[in-house]
Amino acid sequence: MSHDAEKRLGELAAKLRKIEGLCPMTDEEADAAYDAAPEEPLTENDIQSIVESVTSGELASWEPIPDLDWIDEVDLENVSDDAYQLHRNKGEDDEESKLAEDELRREMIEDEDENDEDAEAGGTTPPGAGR
Amino acid sequence: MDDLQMQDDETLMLLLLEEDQDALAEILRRYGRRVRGYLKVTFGDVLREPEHHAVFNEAAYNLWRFRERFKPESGSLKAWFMRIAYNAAVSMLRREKKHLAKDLEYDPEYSPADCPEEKISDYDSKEQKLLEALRDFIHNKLVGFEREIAIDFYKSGGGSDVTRLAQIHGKTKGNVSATRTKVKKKMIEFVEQYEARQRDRKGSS
Repeated sequence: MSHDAEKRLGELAAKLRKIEGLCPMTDEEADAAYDAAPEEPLTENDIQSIVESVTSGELASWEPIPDLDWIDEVDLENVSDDAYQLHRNKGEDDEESKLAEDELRREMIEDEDENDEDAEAGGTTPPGAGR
Repeated sequence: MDDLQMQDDETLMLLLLEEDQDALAEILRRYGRRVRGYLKVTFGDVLREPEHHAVFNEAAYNLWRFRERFKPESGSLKAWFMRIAYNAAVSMLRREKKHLAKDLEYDPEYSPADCPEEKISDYDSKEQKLLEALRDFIHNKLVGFEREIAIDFYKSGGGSDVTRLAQIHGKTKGNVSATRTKVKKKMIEFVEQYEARQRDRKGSS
């Protein structure tokens, strides 16, 4: 399921909520929804019990709310290719990078050979040769 | 109590500001039955009975503790109570406790009646047809657990807490997650097929 398809579904779900008179209700919509709603039983005992628990603050949650607003700013699309690289199985071949690695390896060997030749011709001491 | 019955909403809210518990009881007496009825009609298919009680209690709790944030010039008391109740129901589906957090009392910008979701853009008549078709697909073409998961998906704004759904339906969390993925895929396929049909019709006419 692509990111775009999932995003589109999320938008349609939000509009479906709206079409059904759900959030975000304007005052007029909320008034209309209230007027259209059936009555559910609520006894005097229920009311007194709710008032008691509500005013005593029993329902309060003391867990702090993490500030996650910054998460909205993350655009994962930009790093998806990097993520594929990170999750590439060890040993899995990729022709392009294999060629690049071979080229680097070849250049390193050539550099080493050139250094050895320079050391022999000029009498300079190659790194580590004095030990 | 009799005196309070004669009072208008603004007076009740003024009394509530003075922490008058009888005023809260009167508000619940006046509007509680229909707010409960609204919750039952709207969320009856996704919330269980004990959850309905908890949602209503939480709505009453937020009405009480944020009483000073009610602005009569912005709307009626019953509309405010309705939106608080709606938010409590969605939080229950998602198993979020943030609307009950003590910290919110220190945030002057917070209102328990504000919709936490993004503003939903309007839809035109063409999109309305698609939405109605999608609703029909969810309610009448999907069956059993898939149907319940799809309804839950759009009503909760992205899907209820997986643990909650697993407990309610007697499934494993893996099963719930897998079904949700499958259902989302089916809904996307339905939308794509619907839009392709519309394009074909337009092309042939």
